[in-house]
Amino acid sequence: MMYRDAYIAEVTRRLPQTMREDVALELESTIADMTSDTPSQEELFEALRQLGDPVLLASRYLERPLHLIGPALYPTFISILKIVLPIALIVSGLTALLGVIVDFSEEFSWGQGIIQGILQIVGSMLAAGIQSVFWVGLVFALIERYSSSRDTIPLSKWDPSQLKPVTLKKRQISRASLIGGFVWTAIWVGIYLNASNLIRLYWEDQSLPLLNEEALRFFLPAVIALAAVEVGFGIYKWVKGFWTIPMAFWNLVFNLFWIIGTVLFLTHPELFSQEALTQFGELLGQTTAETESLKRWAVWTLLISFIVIATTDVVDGFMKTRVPRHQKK
Amino acid sequence: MSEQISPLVTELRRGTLILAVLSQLKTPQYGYSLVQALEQASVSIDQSTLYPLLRRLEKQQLVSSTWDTTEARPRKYYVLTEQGHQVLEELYREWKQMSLNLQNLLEGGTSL
Repeated sequence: MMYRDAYIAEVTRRLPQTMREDVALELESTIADMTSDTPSQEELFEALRQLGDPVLLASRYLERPLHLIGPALYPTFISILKIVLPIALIVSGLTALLGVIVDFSEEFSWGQGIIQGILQIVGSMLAAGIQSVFWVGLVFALIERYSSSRDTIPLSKWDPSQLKPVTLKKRQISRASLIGGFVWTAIWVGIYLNASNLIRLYWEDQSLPLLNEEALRFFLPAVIALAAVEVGFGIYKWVKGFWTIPMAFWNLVFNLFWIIGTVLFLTHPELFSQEALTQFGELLGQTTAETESLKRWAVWTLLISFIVIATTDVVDGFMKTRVPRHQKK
Repeated sequence: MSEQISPLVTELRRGTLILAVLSQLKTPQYGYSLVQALEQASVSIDQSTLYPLLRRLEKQQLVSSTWDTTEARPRKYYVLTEQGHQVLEELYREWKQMSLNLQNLLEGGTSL
């Protein structure tokens, strides 16, 4: 009966609350009609096969066509958007606001400055919003087509043996950790995009950007790609709902990319603006060599912290795939 | 049946499906008894199509449903409503006319 209930659950969880109970009862009595009183597993499977793919059955109950993002994934898509979109808007708005405040130049009148600032903030929020909808949509379209999970387009052959029992608590991925991941992505991308305004050297009443505009532009495509993959991976985790060995492996690959990217970025010879470094040395009364070694020390500290964080994340992923011993299969 | 023909037959059948289902609901039927009744008349229908279809017909007020809990297992019975009877007659008339027209078309062979 576990399979029968699992099948009914697969159908009803995709239906609106108002239909659920009735459909569940009807399916239950139908399956009972199709089988003997104490059906063997094979007999039950035969009945379920006749009813067919639960996702397809649910979509027929809903009378919805299959879209780019089908009925199985659509609710998840919307709930992810509801999370990603506010984060993207708030973080992009705040970083743009910071940038505007820092960059507030004296050459305009107050009114002009404020209008310019508002335009800049709205512009970056709009861009962030469009980007996040696009990337999330793309990820879902890809999951819809290439995922091996049961939440794919139900055109493939479906078999009752694919019904999976309820997931173990230990391996489940919490909503909070995913939201944290999205917030983190939004923050670092936001900072990166506004780096020339935010990461500056300040002294007395002047300031200089610490990083070279050219270097930042050079890495931009890689940054966008990495952020998209990061969000995509988060969505993949969300859809799966629990840690698996392949997922932990992909997590390892992803973290490697992160580290390689960070290393390339921080060790880029043109990353730091020479002008700002010279100014820095002058302010502290250091020689060029001293400034250089200080810079190297700062870069290494950053690098090592990133590597430690990434390694922890990878190990954590593999740890979570381990099934507690006392659990039955 | 060859690969090519079966989707065409399915397509051909699709329009008549509602007529077939309605015709069997003059007396109350529950889901699986309806499946069997249709199968006996060699009108095959996918179960994953039938149950959602019944629900849709109910929404359109052509059939009404009641849960019968007097038996050992509860069953949901469907039966034609007044409106359903009218629609069935109407469709049946249309169907007869249509198959007549098509027969003339296929066997007549000569244009008027």
